[in-house]
Amino acid sequence: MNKDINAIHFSNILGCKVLSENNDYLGQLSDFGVSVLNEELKNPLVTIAKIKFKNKFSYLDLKNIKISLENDNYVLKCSSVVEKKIDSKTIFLAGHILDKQIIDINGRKVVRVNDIKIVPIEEDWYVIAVDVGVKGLLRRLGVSRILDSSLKIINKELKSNLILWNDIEAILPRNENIVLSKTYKKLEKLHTSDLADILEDFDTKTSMEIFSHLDKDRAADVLEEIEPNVKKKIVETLSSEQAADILEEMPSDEAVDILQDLDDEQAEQILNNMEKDASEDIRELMKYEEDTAGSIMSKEYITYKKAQRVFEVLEDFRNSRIDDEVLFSIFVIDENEKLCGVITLRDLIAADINLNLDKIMEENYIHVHNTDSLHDLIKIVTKYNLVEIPVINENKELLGTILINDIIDELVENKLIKI
Amino acid sequence: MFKKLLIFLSVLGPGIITGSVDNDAGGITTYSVAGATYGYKLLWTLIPSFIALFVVQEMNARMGIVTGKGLADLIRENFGVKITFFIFLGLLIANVGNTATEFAGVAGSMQVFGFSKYIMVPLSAIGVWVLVVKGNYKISERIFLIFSFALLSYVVSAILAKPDWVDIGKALVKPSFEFKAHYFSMVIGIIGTTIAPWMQFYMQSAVIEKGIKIEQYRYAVLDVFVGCIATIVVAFFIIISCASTLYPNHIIINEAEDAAMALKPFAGVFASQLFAFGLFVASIFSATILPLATAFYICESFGFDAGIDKDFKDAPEFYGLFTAIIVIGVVIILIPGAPLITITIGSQVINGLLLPVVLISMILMVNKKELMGEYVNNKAQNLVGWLTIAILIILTIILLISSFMPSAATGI
Repeated sequence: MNKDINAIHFSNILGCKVLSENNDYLGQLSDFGVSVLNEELKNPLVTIAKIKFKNKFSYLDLKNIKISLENDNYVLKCSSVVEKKIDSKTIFLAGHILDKQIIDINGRKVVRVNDIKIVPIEEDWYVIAVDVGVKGLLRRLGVSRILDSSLKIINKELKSNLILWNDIEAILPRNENIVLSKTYKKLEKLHTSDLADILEDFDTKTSMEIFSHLDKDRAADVLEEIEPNVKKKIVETLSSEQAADILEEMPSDEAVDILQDLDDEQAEQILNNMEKDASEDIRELMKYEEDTAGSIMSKEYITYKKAQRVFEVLEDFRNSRIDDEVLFSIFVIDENEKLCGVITLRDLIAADINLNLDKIMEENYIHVHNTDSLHDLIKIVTKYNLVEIPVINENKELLGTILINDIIDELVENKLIKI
Repeated sequence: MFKKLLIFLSVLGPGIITGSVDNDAGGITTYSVAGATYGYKLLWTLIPSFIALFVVQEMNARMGIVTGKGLADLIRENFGVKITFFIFLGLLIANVGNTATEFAGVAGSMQVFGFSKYIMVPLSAIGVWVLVVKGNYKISERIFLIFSFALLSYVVSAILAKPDWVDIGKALVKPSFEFKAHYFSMVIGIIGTTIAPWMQFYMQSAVIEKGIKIEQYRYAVLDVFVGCIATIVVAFFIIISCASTLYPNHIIINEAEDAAMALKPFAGVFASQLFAFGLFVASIFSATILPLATAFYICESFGFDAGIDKDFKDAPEFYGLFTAIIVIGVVIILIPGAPLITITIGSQVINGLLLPVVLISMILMVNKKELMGEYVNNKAQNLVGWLTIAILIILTIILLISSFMPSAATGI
């Protein structure tokens, strides 16, 4: 008896018989191909049925196939055997999604697909969700029905853990044979640190696939947040030009850390591919010994001259001429690069916009020298409750800045504190 | 030339570590019993074991380098939930047995020093748990590796016992058969302890963690080769020591104390203490790795969070499994009168029975072009692989027949 079908679990229909109109045996269903052609469609349309017959595969147009339920088994009847060509916008459920790891966007983590839910809307079939929970696993093992009935006796229910297709991102492997064109737009919703965590959970190949789809800025931000081992692997896999492009977008102290982890040859190659300013800054920083303030400082700071006015700074902020995300102070320097004073953001905003900067700057600013030890640095920062501290040399020339974040990172890395 | 040496040293690790861990309580016990019970008659199994071990480990290393994915991952992605479930069920049973074996090693070695197993085993289990969860795993790995050099005392002992090297040479190349169930289970046990299934998962992960690139493939193969040599050489000398000292006097190994006698030529009165020390270190080392690795791989393939860097509440299945494996292993050993040696050999036999299943899935995957690209198996590798599987299955069938119908076996 045929029943109208509400929804199909993909694992249940895999392996089912495919018959022609005359009930001739055409083969077994070995996969569904779905079209991601229309990116606006929240749910992909199932377009192809991959049939296996005597170790040969054929790809039939799903339009000619009717799926029905007979005696608890799925039956696929094909009205006319027409092969459909697979293009680069077709992905396969068993080949690319089932049992593979995908990204749960809302959950911000990596999960494994245990099953896939497909529903009929009018004449077509759409993928609506993936099952990543234990119930999906049990269904694959064939025990979920027994479990359901047993649990009913004690009035309990094991819920399915379904994620809507729209809230997941599947990562497709790159293959010489098929070039799958896929954009990873949904990843833009993720916070940088979450995306970094996700990249750490995947294997290197998949991580590189995701990473290569990020634009330079985002790639640099994400790379900053990734843990050192994975960071090193990614940078080693990129070409020198690619690595140089990304490292240029990072704060210089971060770039230095990465380059110091690579072997000298590779580091040199990347430095040579960078813009002169960036590579010069980095080479300077690399010269510092470990355990000096100079070794963890960065070159990303903002300077103005004494005679400039408050409104100029505010305008630069509004025009995005200042694009550093992490900003706590403005440094005021003279013609010889000597640091004359420091202005906190708070003082800047509270000040009369027409004042010269030298009127609101703090001349007795707290500082460290580039050769001071990390221990002294931490003492000063904690004593004066600072979040940012300028680094100068004996001639009071401004060399760099250190953020409280960098200090914490250093402590964690040296295992002085464990998180 | 110097540069090549540097590359080799940077890639060195997975093969050697795997080779050393292979000589755990199960290994030491199995080889000792083999030598004591059958003299040189089981030596011939070492050469085929070596070839099979090398081919299998090379496949793992290659899969790890090319796909960048662990063996558990690959099995789940290529064979689906049902097969993954059965393989890991088998692996779980085998590894609970293996863990029990490691604690049997702890119990046996501590008995030599006069400590009761009821105190030492739970203590060391707690110690292992704390070491893994709270401690620095990498440092303890290095310490254990250094102590595993203690196994070299078998080499010295074997030479000092002045065995007949001609006899040994003959036994190495000429197979001899005894049609007893015990003999066949020993053969399977030797193969199972040398090519333990869980080592395949471990080796592949180690290769991935090292970040070995495909350009360094040749050096990785060399590393695997050296590791296999280490395993087989130690096995060889353990068997010979026991064969020269215990077999002639028909000393059956019932306790670890008996096996320690094999070191008398080398260590004299200190034979027991030396043996006990080596056995203890090897047991603790493997007891640390085994439950951890098993829990990790099972969680990975079924989508549960795993890893010691995660909190208990983030990864309850992982910590639960890890703790359960240790606890069950301990309980088995603490049963009064538990036959430690029999349990040990038995768990290695289970390894040998599970091995064909894991190998079959590995061979099927390593021949897939979509997975391995141009690095699929060549004909020779496939031949050795399938031959190993076939031999193991035949041995299993013979073992089953001879266990249930002793008379039928002798008719072969």
